[in-house]
Amino acid sequence: MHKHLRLIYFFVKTELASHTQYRLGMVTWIINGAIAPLLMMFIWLVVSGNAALTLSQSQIISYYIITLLIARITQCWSIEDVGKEIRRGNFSSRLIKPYHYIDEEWGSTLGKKIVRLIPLIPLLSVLALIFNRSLSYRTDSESILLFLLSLILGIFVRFYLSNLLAVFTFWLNEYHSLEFLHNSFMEIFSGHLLPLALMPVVLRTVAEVSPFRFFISFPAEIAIGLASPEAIVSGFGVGIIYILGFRILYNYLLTAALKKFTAYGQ
Amino acid sequence: MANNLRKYLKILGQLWIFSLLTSLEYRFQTIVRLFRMTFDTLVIFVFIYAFFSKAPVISGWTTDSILLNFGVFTALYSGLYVFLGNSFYDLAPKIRDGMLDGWLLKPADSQFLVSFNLMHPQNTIRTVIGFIIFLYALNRLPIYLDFLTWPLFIIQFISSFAICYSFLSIFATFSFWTYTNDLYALSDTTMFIARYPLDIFPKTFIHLFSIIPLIFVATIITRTLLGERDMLSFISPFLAVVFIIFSRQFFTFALKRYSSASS
Repeated sequence: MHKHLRLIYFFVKTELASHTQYRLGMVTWIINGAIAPLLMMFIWLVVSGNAALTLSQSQIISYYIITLLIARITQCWSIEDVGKEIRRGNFSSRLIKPYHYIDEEWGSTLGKKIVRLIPLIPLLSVLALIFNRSLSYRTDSESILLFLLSLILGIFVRFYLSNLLAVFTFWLNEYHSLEFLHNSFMEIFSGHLLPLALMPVVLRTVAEVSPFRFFISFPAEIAIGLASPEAIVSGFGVGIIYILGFRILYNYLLTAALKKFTAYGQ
Repeated sequence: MANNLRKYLKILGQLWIFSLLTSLEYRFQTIVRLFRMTFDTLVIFVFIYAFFSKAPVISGWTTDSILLNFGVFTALYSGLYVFLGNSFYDLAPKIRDGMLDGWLLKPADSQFLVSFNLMHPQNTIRTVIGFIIFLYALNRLPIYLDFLTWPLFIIQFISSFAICYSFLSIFATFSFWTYTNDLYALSDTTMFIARYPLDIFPKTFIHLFSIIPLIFVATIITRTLLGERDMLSFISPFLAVVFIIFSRQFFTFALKRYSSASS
């Protein structure tokens, strides 16, 4: 365990060093990622000024601002990173190293999250100042603990799903299609653009059983007090099942893939 | 001039065939991409319906007129991306890797080649969906028709095409200094704001979206069809010319400062 943590820490530092050379990119990534949710927030505020919605204006603002933070914390790049390595024939160099490549992925993912959180803090501070009268989050210790646990759950669900999808590159010889599918479903069912409470019934039903809701919606609902105690308990249960299921499937498929893997490329 | 036009149309055709063959190399990826485009567009259609059906009128815009705006934007922007594809996204990696030189040395205009070397023929499906939504909404709305409506609509549509291209080209050109496509990605994301009629936003945003010319992308065009004309309705062709000239000058300026990584 100690060895794994040391490895992860090493790759976090490497990733930080690698990404801080593109400082403009650090800022534009955050602005880029904030445009769509903030646009949705403004549209819902406009609509709520003309019609009664199931969420109040305060809940809408609180939801979209917290999703900016949650989206960055749970984000994962493994489909592209691992898929690219397999596609280019560089993956074999990962296999001969004296550790499982997943430790490197953990370190790389955590490092990238930290890089993106640094410029996000000023943006969130500005938004908190502008909207401070409208923000309403659950600040009791129990809710904060549940929120942090739901974030950890979201990180693990997304990480194992991304790495599971990346493994399919061994058979498909490309990863873009998997990334497209993952991102398409994630945009809709994670609650990133549309809170589940405001979705049409059919979409909401699908979103509630999908793993994507743990990426953003589940932690956000806990933070603003939308989730009932029963929903929180069942949510954690389903999330843990997803983590175990993805991990088992990932181990099985990776073993099968490595049996037939032949490196090619430069 | 006619010879030049024929030459560039021929090159465009060749680049189109090349892009089509490249995309068909990975058929599964192409099928998934087509699925994604259709799925994404239809879901946004459902979202818009979900948003705006809760209130019959927002700042003078009904659900059907908002859908008309969305149809105009989707047809226009997707149509542009049929030709632009990944060309601008690929500019920064080409600059970093020294691969841009191969395109600059060819006997054709550099900005033309940089803009259209990696087309996305698959975006045609999104363009078609955009037109279908446009026709669906048009059918449900009382469209204002006089002798000026359709000529003005066509002029504005073409101008909007030129404005969008120039806006994206300007931000892509920053790659010569930044070596990344982050600013271009930001400009691309910003354009999606024009999916919604910009009049529904607060006045400050409307002024901002007139300076960043988002209001000319789809909102003004939709207003023309709905019979709402003002000074802005007649500005877009002039704005298009200004933007084209500026993007051209800026690209030429960037090329003069460019020193190849490979030589």
